[in-house]
Amino acid sequence: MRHYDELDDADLWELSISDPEAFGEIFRRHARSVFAICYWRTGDAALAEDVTSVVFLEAWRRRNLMVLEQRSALPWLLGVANHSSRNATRSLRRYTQALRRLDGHRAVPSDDAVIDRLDAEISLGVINELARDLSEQEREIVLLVFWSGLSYEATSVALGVPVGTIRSRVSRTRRKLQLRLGHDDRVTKETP
Amino acid sequence: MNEDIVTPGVPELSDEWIALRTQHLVEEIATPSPRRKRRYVLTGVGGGAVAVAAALVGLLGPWATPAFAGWSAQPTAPTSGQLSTAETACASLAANLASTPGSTASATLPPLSLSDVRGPYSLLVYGTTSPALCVLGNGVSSLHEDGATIGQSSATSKADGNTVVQQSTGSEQFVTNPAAATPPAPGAAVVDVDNTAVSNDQSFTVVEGSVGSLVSGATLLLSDDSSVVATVSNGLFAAWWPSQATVSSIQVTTTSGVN
Repeated sequence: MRHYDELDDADLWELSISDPEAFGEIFRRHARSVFAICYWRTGDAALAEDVTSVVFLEAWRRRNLMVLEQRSALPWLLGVANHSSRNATRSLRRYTQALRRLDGHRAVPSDDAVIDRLDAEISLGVINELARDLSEQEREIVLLVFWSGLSYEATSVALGVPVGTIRSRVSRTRRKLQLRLGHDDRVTKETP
Repeated sequence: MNEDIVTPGVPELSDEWIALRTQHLVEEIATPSPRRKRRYVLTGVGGGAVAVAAALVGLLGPWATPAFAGWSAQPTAPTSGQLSTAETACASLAANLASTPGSTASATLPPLSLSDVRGPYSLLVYGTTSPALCVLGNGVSSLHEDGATIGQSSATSKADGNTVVQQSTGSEQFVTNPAAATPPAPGAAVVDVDNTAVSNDQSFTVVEGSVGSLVSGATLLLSDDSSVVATVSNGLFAAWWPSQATVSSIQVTTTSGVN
């Protein structure tokens, strides 16, 4: 196997045209971040696992549309993840055959992992319940800016809208969250 | 705001999971899969206002491949003679359309303003105001020309083995720039004409629009989550795709980056 450590995403992306393992390295680097978006979107860990695979298959299919942000593929991948997991069933259906071939690649979760999943689902359920009235655009801001920690520029790449639009959406979402969630210590935290 | 929303927990993905899924992914992309079969859903003429009075006459002969084989979501380079052959055929289609009783279409097409090639198919855009759109290749030939009579062709041409494509209308919200009366902002793109054609079990959608002076590329994001890279030239963009999906949004590339 080649050593990809010193290569950034842009190098890997270019290399992946002739070396599929380079794309595998992009998966290794970003699968957990992509999974987080898929999980927050679907609220189902098993479903989010398969959507994560689909996100990378979809990213490969649409690789000519790839936009790198400061040589990182992550923002664009999170945009694909946001899009794919918004309608997870449809996304999975598109890759039915590929997912069927996953059957020999599935890892059985340990008991600890099952408990971990239950805890995560409970905490996500609490937040989703309190944020249920957010619009789709506001949810995207919560997912990408507040939870995933993307910069405005990176979020602009992920959502394919101008940075100025992201700024105004963040401002609007903050105001709404402040009004609805600001005094609920289950979902807010003090900033230093 | 003095508080930030708490980030909810995420179940941990094990290293084993990452390794197995990486292996699966690499196998999938390294092994070319057979082209997926496309299914087309037939619908009647769509609702919404007809903002652009136009007709689409298309002939899908029995030789037409059922799934627009060879179509590409990105423009491709034309083969030798492809565009000249298409131009000749489009001129012939225009003459046929104009000679149809009740038609108000012109027998002569305006100057060619844009060519969009996708594998064996050519989309030619004639004129810049209320342009005529012609799609040809692989047994498909269609002409969308402003002012022609809607439904003029009915099913009569089935007699010679052809099926006429009935006019349908695009999504109302995207027919926002009729006759290109208002140029888009320098970094923007706007759809002028968006038409979906339906015939038997085959559908295709043709879109033409205008781009601002700073726009060098445009990608159309469609309602079925797919995307199509448009051809941009002479202040216009054009693309078509083999489905009834509508344009959800347009991602443009400008001299200063992607918007």
